[in-house]
Amino acid sequence: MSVVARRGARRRWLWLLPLAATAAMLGACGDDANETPTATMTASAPTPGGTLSVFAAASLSEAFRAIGNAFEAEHPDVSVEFNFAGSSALATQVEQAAPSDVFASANMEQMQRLVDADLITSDPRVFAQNLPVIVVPADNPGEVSSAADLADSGLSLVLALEDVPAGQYARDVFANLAGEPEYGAGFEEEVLDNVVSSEEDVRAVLVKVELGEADAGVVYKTDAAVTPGTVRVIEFPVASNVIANYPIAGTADTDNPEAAAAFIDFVLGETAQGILTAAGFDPAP
Amino acid sequence: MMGRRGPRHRPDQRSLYTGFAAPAALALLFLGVPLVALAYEAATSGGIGDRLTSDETLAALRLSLITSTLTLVLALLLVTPLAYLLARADFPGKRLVDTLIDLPLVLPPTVAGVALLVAFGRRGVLGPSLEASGIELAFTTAAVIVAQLFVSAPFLARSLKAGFEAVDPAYEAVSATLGISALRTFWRISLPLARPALISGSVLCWSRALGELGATLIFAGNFEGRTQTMPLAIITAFQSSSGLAGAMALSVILVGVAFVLLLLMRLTTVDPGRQAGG
Amino acid sequence: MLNVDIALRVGSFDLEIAFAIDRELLVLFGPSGSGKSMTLGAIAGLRTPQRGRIEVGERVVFDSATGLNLPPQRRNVGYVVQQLALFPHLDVARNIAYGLGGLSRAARRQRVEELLALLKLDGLAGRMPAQLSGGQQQRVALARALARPTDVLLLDEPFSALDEALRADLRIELLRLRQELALPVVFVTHDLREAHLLGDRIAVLDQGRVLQFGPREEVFRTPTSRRVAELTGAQNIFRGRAFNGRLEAGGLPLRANLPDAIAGDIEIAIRAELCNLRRLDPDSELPENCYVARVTANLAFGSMHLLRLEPEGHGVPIEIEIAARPYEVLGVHSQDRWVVELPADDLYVFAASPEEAAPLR
Repeated sequence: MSVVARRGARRRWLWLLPLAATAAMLGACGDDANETPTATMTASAPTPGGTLSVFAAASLSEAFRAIGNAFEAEHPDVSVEFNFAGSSALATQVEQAAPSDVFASANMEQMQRLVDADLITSDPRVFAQNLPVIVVPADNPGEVSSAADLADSGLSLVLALEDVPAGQYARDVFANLAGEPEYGAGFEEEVLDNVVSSEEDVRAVLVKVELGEADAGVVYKTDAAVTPGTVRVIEFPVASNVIANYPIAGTADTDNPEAAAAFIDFVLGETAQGILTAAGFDPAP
Repeated sequence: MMGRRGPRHRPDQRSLYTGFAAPAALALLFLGVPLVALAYEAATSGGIGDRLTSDETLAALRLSLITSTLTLVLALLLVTPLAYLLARADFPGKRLVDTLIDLPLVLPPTVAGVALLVAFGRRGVLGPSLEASGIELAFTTAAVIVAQLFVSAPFLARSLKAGFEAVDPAYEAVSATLGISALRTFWRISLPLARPALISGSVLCWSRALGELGATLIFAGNFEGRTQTMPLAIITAFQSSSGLAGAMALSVILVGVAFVLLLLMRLTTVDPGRQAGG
Repeated sequence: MLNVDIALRVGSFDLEIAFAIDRELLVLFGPSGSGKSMTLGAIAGLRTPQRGRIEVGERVVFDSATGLNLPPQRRNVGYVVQQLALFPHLDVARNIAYGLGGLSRAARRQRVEELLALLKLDGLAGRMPAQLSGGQQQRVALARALARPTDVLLLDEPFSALDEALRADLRIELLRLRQELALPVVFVTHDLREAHLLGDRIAVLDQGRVLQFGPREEVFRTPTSRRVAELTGAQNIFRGRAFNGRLEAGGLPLRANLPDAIAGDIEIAIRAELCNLRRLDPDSELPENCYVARVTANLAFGSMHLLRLEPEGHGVPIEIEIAARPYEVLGVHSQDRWVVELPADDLYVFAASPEEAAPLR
């Protein structure tokens, strides 16, 4: 190639330099000891015996990270890695043969979907429960003091989408309440008329209430515990409320069934239950 | 050159510039205010410093930069010939191909992730043949790159195609009469002349890859250190107890790093044609 | 030498062209869309004719009979395209050196120096194309085309984008260069004066066909068809009749060099600058090929005048070009009635084209 062309070529790629430099710099200062990402590109996911891949609902991320650490302390030979996403996304991944060992879902429906597909090895066990609660902004502009106030005209209410578990639970509660004489049959419709937005996930509901975009919202008790100062929690009447069950089970694609079983036992054990309770979940029934 | 030599503004344009200033400022505000607000909120609620030094954040940031850069390199290698063919060659089904490369832009990223999974996953269409050749793609770092490539390569293809179309074929013809082979002509003439499009397309492609979330989450999963890029870390933080504050801190870090890199890119890519004036 | 005999079809356009030239300058002259540039493209190897043969220098570069079709890279053709296409990202020296990859660095530099000198581009080596004037760009394009061993030089309307003064300079320079290079040159233009000034030979093209091919003076002085007369700028074309070797137009008997075997409806052409204007002498008989006419329009074009005259009796409407000096000497502006003379040697006669009902002028 001539001098002319080589100069041209050199100048063409010059602009990639800052990118490469930054990547190299970060590579140098990061200290992720076990493996560099480029090295894993060809390696297959979990090595038998060593690694346990837990697919867990996003709302469990914090509690499960703590549980994972505790589990690793007890089983030094096993290294736990988590894949946190929405339960339905996780179920899709498992269906597509993602390298998973354990599936912890935020609702029974997604777990059942995998059971029906023969992708679950053991009977799902409920390891935690959660309750839908009403949250209102700290200054409570809608003056909500009980579930009955959700039917006040002009109130702006946000829920999760109907096909998201939290959204379904909320709607179930409203239907239950409409069956009670002091609320009346019209209650459900009045409340649903106040819904100004249906959010993609329950965290988005919480943020809308936190930011004062809505007068009230329905989230899980655990979500409401996340940012205590910014929202106030109002519980539904116990008799009419629904209980959200969190099931856990081993997946059929596992190549580490022993570790999977040990982990599931651990989640149902005292240490893990303590962690879940601290995070606001109700313990396994 | 002309701009520097003569008066910068034609008098009749000045009123147009003034008229445009208001909507332009509005556009700038619209684009800028959310970013500034994000930075402000994140700064006042604290935590950026802690996040910036945490291993998890650094791992996600490093992974994001490496994968998005590799995505760009791969996109350049794969898409450049495609863009050139679309711009120059006549072949049956050209319009179909041209439309096809836009489709990944239409798909919601999550659906794109599912599409990739059913194509390249272990139970996917190509899964068995990939497995037979010892390649496991889904839920690896390579899957992150594949997901980013799928959603970001169309941006590069679009831009480069327009860039090649803007190169007068007469340059290539003259190069041929000067004894230079078609391939060398491509390297010495077509590609350098499509440089502005190459750069803007690369910026778009890289930025889109860096911000990719939905397809990665489905196709590569959310494994810390392996497939958890910054956007995935952000969405995970959003679900954790740090909630909004944590997500905002991570977002500010991502936006800040991207800003610095894009600015550096702009500064190091002085167009030789403009440098020469004319 | 350059020997071309090809048929080329693109869409509905159909080009058939044949000519052979030695180390001389051939002007391909014709209106836009007549196939001039397409011909150059075929010679350069950028277009493939359906059939025919092209010889460049001593080599056959295309022959449909044997399937030979050398790529442009191997034809040794210097081609300056109409838009010049100087590589905008390379400076003048790199543009010129572009095709010299096979040479050593020193040889390349020396060749560039030679060409810069030949084309009077000294001191511009480091400029970018956008920093050059139109004339300089033109010269760089020429230098680039000449840098490699070249057996034929193709120039596609190279001066069309330049102003008149610059064109004149460059034409003279091209004539000088042609002496120095001793190459066959094909020069495409639709500018009549340019064709006349530069061409050793002229091929008149129209709608993909060569209407006439020959030495410059022959083509300009004796067009063989109405269309060539039109294209080569014969402003006056009128109808007439031929019978028994005699000629008549507008009731006026005319003498002319009649082609053999022409009879019946004919067309007669004469260039405006070849018509004569004489003072009217009421006492003497009108000589042959003369008639009385009245000036109906008088347009001044600086160095010359264009007069439009209508016959008073027999004769034809006519346009006459007359230079400023004789215009003054004759006192044309003071008189309306004149005698128009159509010199017999300057009249060109063709059979009337039946399909074209040409308006009488």
